[in-house]
This record gives sequence, structure tokens and C-alpha cells, in this order.
Amino acid sequence: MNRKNMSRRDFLRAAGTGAVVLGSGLMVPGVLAQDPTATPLPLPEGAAGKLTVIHRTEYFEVVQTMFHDTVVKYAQDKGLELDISTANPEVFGDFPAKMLAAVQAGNPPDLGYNQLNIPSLISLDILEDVSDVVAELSNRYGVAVPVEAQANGMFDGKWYAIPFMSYTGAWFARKDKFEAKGINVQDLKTFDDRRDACLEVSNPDENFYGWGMTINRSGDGHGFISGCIQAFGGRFVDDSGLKVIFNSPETVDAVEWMKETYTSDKYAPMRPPGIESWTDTSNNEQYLAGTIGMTLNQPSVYAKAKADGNPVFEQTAVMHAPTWNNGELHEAGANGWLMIFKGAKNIDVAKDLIYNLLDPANYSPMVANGGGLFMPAYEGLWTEEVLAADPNFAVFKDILLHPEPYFGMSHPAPPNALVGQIDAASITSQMMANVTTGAMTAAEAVEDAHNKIVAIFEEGGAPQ
Amino acid sequence: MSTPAKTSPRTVVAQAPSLPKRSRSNTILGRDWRVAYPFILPIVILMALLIFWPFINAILMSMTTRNVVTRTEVYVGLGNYERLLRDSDFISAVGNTLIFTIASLSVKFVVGMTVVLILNSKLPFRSILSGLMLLPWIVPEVVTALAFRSIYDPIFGGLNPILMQLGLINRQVAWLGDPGLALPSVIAVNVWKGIPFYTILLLAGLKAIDREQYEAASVDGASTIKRFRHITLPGLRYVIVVTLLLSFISTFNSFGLIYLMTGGGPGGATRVYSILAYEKAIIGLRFGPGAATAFSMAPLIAVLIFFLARFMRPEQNAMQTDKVSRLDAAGAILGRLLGLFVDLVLIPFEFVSNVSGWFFSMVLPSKEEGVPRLSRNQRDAVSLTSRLALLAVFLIFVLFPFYWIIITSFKTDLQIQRFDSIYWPHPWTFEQYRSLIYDTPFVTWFKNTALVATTSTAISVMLSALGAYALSRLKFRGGGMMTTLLLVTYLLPGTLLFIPLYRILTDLGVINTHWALILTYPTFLMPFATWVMMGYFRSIPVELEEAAMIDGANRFTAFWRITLPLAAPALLSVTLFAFTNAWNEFLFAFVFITSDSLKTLPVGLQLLVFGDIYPWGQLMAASLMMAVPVVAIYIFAQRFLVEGLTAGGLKG
Repeated sequence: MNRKNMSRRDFLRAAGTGAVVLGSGLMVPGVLAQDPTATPLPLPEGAAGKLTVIHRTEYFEVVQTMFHDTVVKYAQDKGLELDISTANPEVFGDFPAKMLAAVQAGNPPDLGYNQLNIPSLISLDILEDVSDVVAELSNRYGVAVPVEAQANGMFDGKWYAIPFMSYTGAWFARKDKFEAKGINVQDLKTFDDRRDACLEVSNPDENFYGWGMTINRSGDGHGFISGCIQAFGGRFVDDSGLKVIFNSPETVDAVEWMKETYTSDKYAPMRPPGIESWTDTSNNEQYLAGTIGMTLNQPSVYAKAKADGNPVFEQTAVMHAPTWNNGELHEAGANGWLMIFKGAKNIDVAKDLIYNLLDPANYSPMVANGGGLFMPAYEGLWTEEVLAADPNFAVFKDILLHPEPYFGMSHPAPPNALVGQIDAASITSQMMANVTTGAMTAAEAVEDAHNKIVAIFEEGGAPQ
Repeated sequence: MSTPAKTSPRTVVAQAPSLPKRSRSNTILGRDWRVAYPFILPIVILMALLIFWPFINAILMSMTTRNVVTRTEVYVGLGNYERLLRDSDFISAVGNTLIFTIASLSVKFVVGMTVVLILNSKLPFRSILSGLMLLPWIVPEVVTALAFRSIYDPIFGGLNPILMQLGLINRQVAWLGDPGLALPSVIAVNVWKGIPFYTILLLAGLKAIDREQYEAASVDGASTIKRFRHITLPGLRYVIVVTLLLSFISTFNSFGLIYLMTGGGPGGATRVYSILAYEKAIIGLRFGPGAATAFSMAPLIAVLIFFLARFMRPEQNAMQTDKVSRLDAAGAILGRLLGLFVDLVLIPFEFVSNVSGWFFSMVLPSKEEGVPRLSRNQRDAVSLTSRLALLAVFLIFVLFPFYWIIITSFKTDLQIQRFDSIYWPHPWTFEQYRSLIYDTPFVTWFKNTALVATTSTAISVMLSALGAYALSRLKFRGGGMMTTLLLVTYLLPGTLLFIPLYRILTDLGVINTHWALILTYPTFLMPFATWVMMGYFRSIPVELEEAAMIDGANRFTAFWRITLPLAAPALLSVTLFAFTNAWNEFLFAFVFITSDSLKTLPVGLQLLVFGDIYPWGQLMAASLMMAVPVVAIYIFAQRFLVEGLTAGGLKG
């Protein structure tokens, strides 16, 4: 190569072009620490002690905007400096780790709002005691719902997170497709009922598949697997919540049932191609595209169909969870939480802001626009007005205000951080993959998964 | 500066580096230490603070677990490492990682080499074609993953219908769903993303080979295959080794691309070790076991880094030892074995070449003795057609995702959701672009990205140039070690350094400011830039500087006025590399910036996702617009990119 091919002028010209292209962004280093743009948000710079709020991205942008606007208005009214940001908890799942780092570094946000496993955060010791706030809110708006909120948000008799909204997963079905075969989806009570009906409505030639539940690593997949195991009588832990009892004939039976569902020729017509690799978004996309008949999901799929005027919305029925093989129905709701982190600089202001956010004047519009994804977290806020907004909200209310607690994987023990780590390690989906690929028998895969859970518990200080 | 700027020529000669005065400090610290240490000091400070300190932190972390019952941190020594040996997930993750890396590397190398050989031949529109082959480089990982997930979709993706029409498959294939296909499918994406790296480096290496060697071989009657085996391959030996080593390390530590496409699934079919470590540490909040998982692979990478460093500073090794070391002897044996292997691989090609020659001689009518059966023009036409046909296959592979991104960005949400008009928007809409610009902070993100990328690139290139100059020109104690330590940044996935890094950046008062990114980006931009600059500096005759110093310039002036301007092509090419990487960086930006108004584009794209619903149209429109500045620079500067890498940098 001849270095003279490029003259100094060439180089300068190249650099100059680059500079022009980037002109819009070029700044002198002196302003680097500042907000380089005139944002529409009042985000004053630098001053220590400004109110810092980080909130989750919502399925409905309008709800997110309402949250944002409420906080901005509050700060303006009080004359406070504000830094408000969003966090998407779904993609990398690193919000708790980030908050841990912030607490350890001594600069956590004052207020966080997200949908998280609170026992894990309590075990990391990064949350402030907020019992006084929950007591005051319960005083104003009734007890916190769902009933599991207490087990998730409390530790040693103290609240460490404030229930802000509630939501529940549900089963969604295309009632038109089932009705065409003479099936009323609300009659499909058990896992067996649903599987058989899904097979009946399937028509692969027309790209329609009845079954839309994956067993791949994803919130929906893990929820389906553990629900199925428990329906068959299997359990993850004993009543103390600290001893692993996963490896049992009941669990093996459930795994055999799922193996048949996902590998047998009999059920092949109801399985959409690629269901083994679905993530949390896949079943939504497929359902919205009208290719699957039934799925287990958060109401996002329902809400999105409604918002976009997707024709599947009119044909969607919301169903309760399948009953267990012993005939019992166990359903749980969950919460979005407001959290004040240890070391936060403006705790009192954050608490005052929380009352403001839950003031019905600010709160009710979020519920009304939340499409079932943002339901009230206090009994007294379930008004007639809320129920009138959507006919299926009554089903959500049934689920969210049920009297008997269902603690999910730890049931009947209350949830704890160790149980929360089982799904984080994708143990059940790996177990199902071992079975469906033929790498292990159901019994071997259950034993393998049991050993991994034991390892997590022992490592976390619960000897087996 | 040790050398006085204005003294008599005689005095300067006495103090010039070529004629050193052997003082005690020079004996201990090396001949040029006074000059060299200030040159490398900025890099050392940056690396010590932002790589080694968090690194040590992470090692200590790997020896602890969190007792969630008592809510305390417990020291467990090597307990986390021992547990790994019994962990079936870990064993399968290591297997996946090795398969992923080796398969991906092999394909990238073969494809890269083939493409480069074609691009280096006489070809119409050669520079446009070369530019097209570089396109995957500019697409951010987030977008690549999303685009391929959409293409691979078994029911409505773009791939299945095409393969069905070609008769290659007869049913809908779940590319990412079938445990047997998921890993190969992910490998294909890694290959797609990695082709530009191989293309650029190998192309630069090829240009550095003396053409006279080929001409001489042709005169001697050597066949194309023989010329490739005995001139091209040996000539590229150095660049091949360095490219493969760098590529091995980055492929081995791949995280974002796979995680965004499959999350490690189905089951654990694509769970590589970095995903397992991330899953434990960040998602499961089991930092100790996660860090141990990440560090478990460090010895392997460390060995590779050791070899890479040897290649990066060959003259240092030569200086350290005059006789052939055992390692070199082992290397020679390995080299001979590799040569044998290459000979074996090339036998079938040579056979095919001979058979086709024989075929033509039989089929085509014989002319006079000694006159070729095909005229030169005919031979050129056949050769050109076959080369273009082969290149077309690779071009389709490279360009299809762009076509997919473009058409998706012009569809309405409902078209995308309902998978209507898959291959062509009907009707076309600019709505995605409009909403992106007016309804989202896209413009803010764009400006932030431009600011961070430009500044961190400038810092990286400046420090690399200084460091590379010291490492390639000056003799000082610690130079060899420094070259190796520079590469430690590649030792483990960056995702696991972020907790300690976060604390450090907070202590520095820069967390949640653009400085956090401007300071951390050079840690991964500098090693490669330094390597390229070192090679280039080596190719610049040292006499030019010596002459300047005789005329009164000090070392820095000689560097600034003489060497640096001569290294302009290399500066430009490393600037492009660094800028592209900084422009597309995701993880650090994701972690260190929380204020929306300070976020960069790759993170912003992810913010467009609401819950578990992907706004495909907006995402694709955003990625296209995001690529514009990088494409603009590449179009103009592409030829310098290769030239900058060529001169000496890749000769070894």
C-alpha cells in the first residue's frame, strides 16, 4: 500500500465530512455533563437532593404519560427539581441489579415503580420500611389487593413496598373459533378439557392452531409449566418454603402430560410451528395475528387488540385458570410496586408523592385507560365506574379479589427469594426441553431439575 | 520531555534514542522509559480504574454467596467454582459456547476469505460491492436480533416462504424453535454480523501482499490453487491468526445478539456461558455464582490473549529472547501441521480445478497446438461470471435483512400485526418515521449518541495513537506486559463488570451523565485501535523521526509532526471502527444512564418497546435512520478504511 494515496487534505476532508454528518451532535466537552438538548421535561441539572423517580414503561403509553405528568405536576407545585426516567423491565430483567448497584453506590432514586419480585429485593436489603404509607393508604382506600400482596410486600411484619396497581394473568380464547365447533370456552375447566378443545379447533392448513401456550423460557412459559405441575399435585417446596420437594410422582405425571402435549403426533395439529421457542412476545403476536385459539398471558394481548381495533378483540373471551386435578381453583393476582430505596435522599417527599399518585383524581384515569393491565390495588378503589369500563373487568375482579391466597410456585408456603430464583434460572423450561428433545425421561428430568433447585437453596442458606 | 528541544546538533545526537546513554535507570526501566511512560500513562490510568479494579472486584465477588435467609454475604472460597462442575446447565452451556464459537469462526473465515478473494480480483463496481459487504457492521445488535427474529418466524417470517418456493423445505421450519436448528440459526446471524470484520481485515492483508510474487508464480506456471496455497495463505498468515484470535474472543463472549434472539432457549439450546452467567448474576441476583460462571472461562481466553499479545508485539518478543524458545518451536510444529491440513483441504479443490480444465479441453473444439481453447476475453468473461455468481449468493445473504428492515419500516402497524403483504408494504406509509420523529425523543437520542460516540472515539484514537507509538517505537520495561494487559478487557463479558463499574463511576461523580459512557467506551475501543496503530507505526521508517530530532525536535514533536500525519490512513480507519462500535453500544449505555434525556439510540430503541409488544415498524424505521450517519461516513471513507489497515499493520 502506498501511504501517499491519502494526502493530508484527503484526511482533513474525510474528517470534515464526518464532522458535518455528525454536526448535529458535536458538542464541546465542556457541556458534556449537561443535558445536551432542550427536552420537553423539566430536568434541572446537577443539584444534589433533587427528586429522582424511575417508573416502568407501560403497555399503554397513555397510562405511562399520566404517571409521568402527575409526577411532573407534583414537582412543579412543590417547586422541586425533578429527574424522572423510565425503565423497561422486560427485555434484560436487570432492573433489580441496577437498583442494587445504585443503593450500594449511595445514589438510588427516591421513588421506583415496577413490577418485581419483592422478596428478592427484601433479601438484598435495599428497600426502606414503608409500613406507615401502606397503613395510611389502607386507611383511605381499603385493604391492599390481591390477598397475596401482603405475603409479597411484607417481611417480619413490615411493608417494604407499596402496592400501586394490580394485575393478573388470564387465559384468553377465540370464542368464535370454539363456538364454530360447538364449544363454550367457559365450560373448559381442566387442562385436559382445554387441550382436547384446542385440538378440535385446529386447522393447520389454514394456519390456525388451537394451542398457544409455550414451555420455553419466558414468564408465560414458566407460569404454564409450574401451573400444570401444581394442578397434578406436584409441589416445589414444603410448607416452610425452605425444603425442596419437587421430585415426586405427581411432578413426573405432569411432565409426562406436557411431554405428550408437545411431542405426540396426536396433538401435533394444534401446535403452531416454533411454539418451542416462543418468548413473552411471541404468543401476543400470534394471537393478534389470529393464528392461535387460546393463550395464557397478561391482559396485554387483550388490551393491545382493543387499542388497535384488531378484529380478534371482539372474539376474545377471558377465562379463569384451569382447575387442579383435585377440582380446586387457584388463581393469583400480582402487583406493580412503589419502592423507596435505602439511602434515598428525599424519603418524605417520595411518600407525599405516593399519596398524590394514589389520589383518585390522578389514579382513576390510569385505571380507566389501562385496558385491564392497571387495575386498582386497594379494595375501595374498585368502583362501579371501573367495572363499567370493560365487560371483562368483572373476570379480573373475580381473580384479583379472591379471598384465598395462592402463592404461585411456593404455594402453600408464602413466597420467598429462593423460590423466586427457580424461574430466574429457567430450571423448569430447561427440564421440559430435556424431556421434549428426548435427552432425558420425565423422571430423569424432574430429578435433574430437583437437584438444581436444591443447589440454589443450599447456596442461598437453606440446607436440605 | 527528556530530550531538550533546542540544543546543538551534536548534543542532540548524543541524546537521541538511537544512541542512548546507558544510565542506571535506563538499564532498569528500559532505554526510552522517560518518553514512553508519559505516552502510555493515560491508557494505564483509564485501564486501571475502569478495567482492573472492577475486575478484581468481580473476582472477589465470585467467592461469595448471598444467604437469603440471614440476608448476609458469605465467603465461600472456591465453592461456587466447585459447584459448577456438578451443574448440568453449566456443562451444556460450555458445550454450546464452544460449538457456537468454532462453527461461527469457521464459516466466517471461509466466507470472509472467499468474498475477499473475489473482491480483490478485477470486478466491476468493486468499491460499491465491497461497501455492501460491510453493511452488517453498521446495524446495532439490538436491531440485528430483532430483524432476524422476525425473518426466522416460522409462520409469517420472510425465510420460510422463500425456501418453500425454492423447494428446499416442504413444511414451516421453526428456525429458533427446533432445539436442533436454534444454535445453527443463531450462528448464521453471528456470521452475518461478523463478515465485515473478516472482509476488512483480510482485504487489507491481501493488499499488503506484493503482486510481483503472483506474477512470478504465474510465469512459473503455478495454478490458481497453488498461488493461493503458497503465496496468499502464507502472506496472510499473520492477519489470519490475529483476526481469528480477536474474533474467537469476541464470539466466545457473545451475549447480546443471542440473548435478544432466543434468551438462551429453546430449553437451553442456545444458552452460552455468558448467558448462564448473566442469568445467575443479574436476573437471579446470585452475583457470586454468576461471577464464578463468567470467570470459569477466563483461563482459556487468557491463553488466547497471551498468543494474541505475542502477535501484536513481535519485535518485543524478538528483543526479549534471541534464541528460539520452546514455544516458538511448538508453534513451528503446529504451523507445519496446519500447512499439512491446508494441503489436504485443498486437494479436492485442485482436483475439481484439474477436472474442469480437462472437461473444457474435451468439450471445446481443439485449435492449434499451444493456442488456448478459449480466447482471453472468453476466459475473462467465464471467470467474471462465476465470481459474480458466487458473490451474489453472499450478497443476498447480507442484503436480505436490510430489505426486510426497509419494507417493515414502511408498513402500518396493522399490516405488521396481521402479517399482511409480507414482502411489500401495501399501502406504503411514512407513519412510522413521522411518529418516530414527532412522538418519541428520537432526535434527542440521536444527538446524545452523536455526542458520546464522537467524543469517546476521539479520546480512544488519541490515547491509542500515543500508546501504540510507545509500544511500537520505544523500549521500556513493562511494554510487553502492557500489550497483554490491554487485552484483559476482552477476558470476560462486560455485563458482569457493571456492578463494580457502577460504583466507581458514582464515586467519580459521573454516573448518569454522558461522561460515564465517554470514559468507559475507550476500554473496549482502545485495544483494537492500538493494535492497528502499532502495526502502522512499525511500517513508518524510524529514520524520518531521527532526522527530525537531529534537527531539534523532541520526541513528542517528532511524533506529532512527522509520524502521526503519515499515519493518517490508519487513524481514519481506527476512527471508523471505534465510531461504529461506540455508535451501536448498548449495554453500558443501558446500565449507566437512567435519565431519559441522556439516553442513546440503541437504548432508546429498546425504550420504544412497550411491555411485551414490539413496535416493529418504528423499530425498523429507527434503525434505518440510526444507520444514516455511519453509512455516510463509510461511503466516503471506505477506501481509506482498508488502506489504513494495510500498510504494515497486517504484515506482521
